[in-house]
Amino acid sequence: MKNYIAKRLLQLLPILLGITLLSFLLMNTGAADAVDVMESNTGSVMTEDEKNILREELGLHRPLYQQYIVWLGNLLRGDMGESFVSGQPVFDTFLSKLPATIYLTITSILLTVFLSVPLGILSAVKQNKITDYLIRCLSFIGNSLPNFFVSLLLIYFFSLKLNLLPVMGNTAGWKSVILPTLTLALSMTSKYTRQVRATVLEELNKDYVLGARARGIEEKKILYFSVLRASMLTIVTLLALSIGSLLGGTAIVESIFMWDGVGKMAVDAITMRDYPVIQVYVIWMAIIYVCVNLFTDIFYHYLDPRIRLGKEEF
Amino acid sequence: MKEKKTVLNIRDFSVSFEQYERGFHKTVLPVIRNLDVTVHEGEMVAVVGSSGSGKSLLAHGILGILPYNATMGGEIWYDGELLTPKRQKMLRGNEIVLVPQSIAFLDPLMKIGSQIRKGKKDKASKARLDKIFEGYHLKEEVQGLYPFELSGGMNRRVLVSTALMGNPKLVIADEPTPGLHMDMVRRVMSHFRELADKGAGVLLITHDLEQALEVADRVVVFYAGTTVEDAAASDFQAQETLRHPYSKALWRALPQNGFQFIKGTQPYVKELPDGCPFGPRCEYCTAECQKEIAYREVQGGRVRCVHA
Repeated sequence: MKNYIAKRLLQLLPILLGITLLSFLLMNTGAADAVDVMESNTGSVMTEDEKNILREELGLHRPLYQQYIVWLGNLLRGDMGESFVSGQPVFDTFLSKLPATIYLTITSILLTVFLSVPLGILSAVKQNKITDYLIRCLSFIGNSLPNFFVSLLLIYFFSLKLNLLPVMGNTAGWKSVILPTLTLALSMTSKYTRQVRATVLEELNKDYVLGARARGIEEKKILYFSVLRASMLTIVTLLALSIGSLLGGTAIVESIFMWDGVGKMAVDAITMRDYPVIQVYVIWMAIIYVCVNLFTDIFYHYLDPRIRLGKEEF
Repeated sequence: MKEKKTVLNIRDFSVSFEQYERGFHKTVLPVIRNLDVTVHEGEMVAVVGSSGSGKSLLAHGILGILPYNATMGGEIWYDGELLTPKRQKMLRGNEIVLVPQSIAFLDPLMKIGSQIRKGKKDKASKARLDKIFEGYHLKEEVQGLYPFELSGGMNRRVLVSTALMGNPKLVIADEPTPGLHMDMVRRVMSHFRELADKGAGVLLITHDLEQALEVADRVVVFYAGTTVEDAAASDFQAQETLRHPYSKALWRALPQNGFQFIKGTQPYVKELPDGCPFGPRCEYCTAECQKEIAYREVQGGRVRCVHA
């Protein structure tokens, strides 16, 4: 197991290197000249000579690969440059936005799991009964409602009509996290309930369930020890991907609720063409997905002996 | 000879499935009907039929593990009492056990040992499992393995072991030897014979008549979801002692009796003829065969044929 993790971590290195290279090139090819952008952002007028001196100061006259190495070195020290807009160090800004996003990720994932797993199991066990139809119907509605619409509805009822919860921001303590969490959890729960139902049903139809019944094992035991465990493999994969996208910040929900996280930061940066901030965001997203995949694989190893004890395919 | 106690008595058993075709049009598919089987103490009865004739459903029906859209009819008597769903739940895995078709009937994510012990960790069940494994020459390490790690021969013995944790009085073996080497088949079969000799009733469900004849006491011939003949295994020594034309055809198809086959295929449930399902393929078929045919006693066996 330790060997496996070490191996996987080693494999991450080239992937991460590739991502930094890509995002560096993105910056250099896609973006306008950094000095020009600075000029228009600061509002000062510079002559061509002044610009050239500035380029030399910034090291922009050097060949691309040298720039990359310098940039990568800075990156490893946590220096990713300054924002074109605020002039603040980008990495610090990013770090200050991260807790809000992580907070929202945790609350919404927890709520989703606590709702969708029991509902999905119930729906599968009561297949084609009234409970099942009701759950499926609700999840269908939940799936069809776009996030922004749900959030507006929630704000309208809970904040404007009932005056219970704050309309926006993340400054009102636990109260402020409720509406964004509900918005995110509602759509995810709808999706996962169906997924859990489908997976559990698939497992329930397998021969080993018949075998267990024939051996006289109680239905509850079969469900919780065998079926659920097997279903977890599928569900965890999906959850991991959701956690990935949530950690990247949910641009729409964070923007609507003025939730000061990385998603909102990225949207703001894109509208202002704040390239260093976008770059941080791109690298962050890449790291998340790589890590989430790693954790999923490790979890698989732990959960499924066929993977753990089977032939190692490396 | 003393009359042996009847362990299992199945009367007029049927299984049908509800199906939707072309939208909302509901049809009922009678996969098994008019099935009669009895198993006595210490007796090994083989139910022989070709693939797709619904044999496994018989096993699942006795255990009460049919799929939810299946409907069961007829009566199953176990140990002199009607086998109700409640009794099935109580008895399965203990008195009535299944030796399943394949390793797929074991949970792939659970170790063999704890799976056979049904999660129990007390000393008594551990000792019991150790003893069973010893009897089948399975090493103790096997208990710590997962189903996918077993070799073909091992997993047969493990599957037989799963059935022995309780106090089996009725063992249902559902195609226990598919794709196995003849030597292996004999060995697996000898396990069942042993169980029967110890006093349990064994119901062997198989498509392999040759195998069945080697070990079973009685053979029940199963055709298109119906039992057509119930004969002593010794009746299969000659064509003349058999009663039903289909059994005779099976006899002629045995390698030592000429390997002859008859034309046609077993009819699909939806295209069953009236009366005798074997009618269209039978050389003796007459107008009488298209009516309901009784299962009657003929020369110590039973047959569902008007001409026997």
